Amino acid sequence: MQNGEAQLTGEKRVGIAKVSLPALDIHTLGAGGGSIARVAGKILHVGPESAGADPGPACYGRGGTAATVTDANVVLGFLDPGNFLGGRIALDAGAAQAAVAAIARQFGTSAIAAAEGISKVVNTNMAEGIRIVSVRRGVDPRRFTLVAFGGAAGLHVMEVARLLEIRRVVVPNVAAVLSAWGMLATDLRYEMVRSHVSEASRMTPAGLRRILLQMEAEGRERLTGFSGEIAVRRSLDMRYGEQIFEISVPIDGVDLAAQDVIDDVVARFHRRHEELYAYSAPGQEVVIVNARVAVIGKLPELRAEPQRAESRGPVTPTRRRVYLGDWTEVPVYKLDGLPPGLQSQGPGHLRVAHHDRADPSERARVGDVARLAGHRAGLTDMGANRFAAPGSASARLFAEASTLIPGGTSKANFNVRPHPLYVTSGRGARVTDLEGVERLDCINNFTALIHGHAYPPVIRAVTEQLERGSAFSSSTPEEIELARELVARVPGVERIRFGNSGTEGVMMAIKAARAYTGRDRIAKFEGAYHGYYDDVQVSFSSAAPAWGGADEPASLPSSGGLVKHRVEETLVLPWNDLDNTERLLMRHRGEIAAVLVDPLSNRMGFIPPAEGFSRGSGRSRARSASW
Amino acid sequence: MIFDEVISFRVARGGAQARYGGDPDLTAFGKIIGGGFPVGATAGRAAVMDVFDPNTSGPRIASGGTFSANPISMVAGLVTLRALDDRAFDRLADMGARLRGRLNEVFRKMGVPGHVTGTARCSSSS
Repeated sequence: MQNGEAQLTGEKRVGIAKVSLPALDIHTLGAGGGSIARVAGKILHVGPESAGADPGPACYGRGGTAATVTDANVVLGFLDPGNFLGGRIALDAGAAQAAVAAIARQFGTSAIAAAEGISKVVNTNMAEGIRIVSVRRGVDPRRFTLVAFGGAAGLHVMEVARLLEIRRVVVPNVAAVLSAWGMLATDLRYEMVRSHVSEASRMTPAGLRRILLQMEAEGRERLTGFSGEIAVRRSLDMRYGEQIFEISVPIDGVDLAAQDVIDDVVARFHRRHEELYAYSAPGQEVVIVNARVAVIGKLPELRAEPQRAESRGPVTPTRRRVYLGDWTEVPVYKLDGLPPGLQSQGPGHLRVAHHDRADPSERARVGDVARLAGHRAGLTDMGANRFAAPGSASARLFAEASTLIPGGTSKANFNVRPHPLYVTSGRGARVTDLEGVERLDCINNFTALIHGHAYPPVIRAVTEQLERGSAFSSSTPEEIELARELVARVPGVERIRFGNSGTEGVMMAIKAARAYTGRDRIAKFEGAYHGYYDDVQVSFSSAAPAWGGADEPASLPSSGGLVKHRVEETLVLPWNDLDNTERLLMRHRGEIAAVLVDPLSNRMGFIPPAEGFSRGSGRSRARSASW
Repeated sequence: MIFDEVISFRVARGGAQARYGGDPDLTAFGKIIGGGFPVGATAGRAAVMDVFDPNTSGPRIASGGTFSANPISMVAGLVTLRALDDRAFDRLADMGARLRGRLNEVFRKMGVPGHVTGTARCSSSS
């Protein structure tokens, strides 16, 4: 699960047949308590053959003789023979010992060493299974939380986590019966797929709308009789024209009624492609292959059994000897008896009614019920991603924002998925988001806050000024003080005039240059961003193939709503290419009112001008006073 | 020539033109000169800037917004700039270099195909 979403796949196999229907992306291993240990070619194997529940492991005493993982756990002391299934089954420790000893004899070693070997092999198998669904897909398992469930999960999860360097493990208090609990808790969901192969450019907004709405209606029809809240999730399988594999592009939040809905969908495809493969090709033809609609009937959240609130007496563990490379006596706690929030101080054993749980780890923490319930939705629970969980405060705020503000925000936010972060406060270089997560802020309101957030001297000065008034029709002494400071600091500044934004500063400079020279055209460098005044919203995000030659970049609009002939009026120059810049300026001499230069263009990675480049532009200006 | 120093003004006490040269006729400012409040500015040589002066002859530029040069942005900017002495810029440069170095190290370690570029007090990742 990523960001609280279960991943789907269309690549499941049944036998040799590939089933191209969406299914939960689950990788199954034959590694459990019943997995049988055997020796083949002097190598110890565990599973995938299983003793099952009947006859079951040797220690069940139902006629099984093969050594299983459960038998090894009994030998190692991880399982208490007197408290299996809450004491309802008495385990035969002698039978476990005998079965494991049979394996040990084949290696000429002790039963305890063989038990340890069985445990290691099965843990490695489990870790390998997780690597297959993570590392092999380019996902780093260390970024995830490992959730353990099933009867024996608690016995192995810590070691599996250690092998994968996963630092956070969650064992729900219903771990032993989590699959059954999930069946009761899950929403009603119908997934529909319809193939409709079409180049995006040939698909009409009405056509796309019709397909998606038909599928949605079909899904709602199937939920007839369901009276709760219904959610709809839409996605398209898309690919570039020359590719053969599609990627799934979620299109939730796309306004289906909009005239530019196809452009919106294509833009999302490019972004998704870039997220997955670190590149996109905006000029290329995009093909829509399948439309997918999930209609979800939301069932009320099923709470895990609440832990009793009344305070209990002191937690007194029993003690047991377990084998952790050596025989060690560890405290054993009953999980149900532990108060929420408790942190263990060292290796310990947690025991629950469903089963016995070993936790030979550094630390365990008993989460509260709400926390475990929260994990149902978002199992990754990296603090940093908490805002992205479907039910988070940020998600709810963004849902409302989207009904009030186009796109949900007036800011040019970063491309944070699935919705922007909301910040509630900041101090210095750190901000706190709506979910209470503190973050290092490396952008500080797009570099405007050079001293960080809530800088005390600014707070003091502004508070004092507020008492005297915030804005007047008349001039104020403060304007002159800031003007004096800037004129004193900057070599090229003798006079200054203030406005309200950088965009305005650039716009007024351009108008001044036109008024001064009596010419109209502006030259700017390709890739440079100068705010959103029409004449400079040109070629700051050019892409192949339309971007023109390296020696003569094309003038391309970088926004909708620009006047076409004004875009063409702006001359675009190649950055750090003095010869071609001079050549272009000479060709257009007499036309150019000003060359606009960002000496450290942020859109180009703050790459400084080549030695002599900005000076060179100045020289060429001096040399040909005519341009 | 117009320098857009809206962002680059943060690289040195006198901005990028003091650091890299260039001698622009006009300079646009924004961001840090408002100390965290909305601001922008157009500045430059007196002869060119005279086009904003309604009392001189020649083509005049009509400008001046309702909140232009409001004293809140002005005092916030002033306090911010006064605290930015040469030592502060050295400290910023150190922090920037450290951030870039550590991020590139993390990218390398985690196998992320990314790179942090920049200079002095500006960093950008791609």
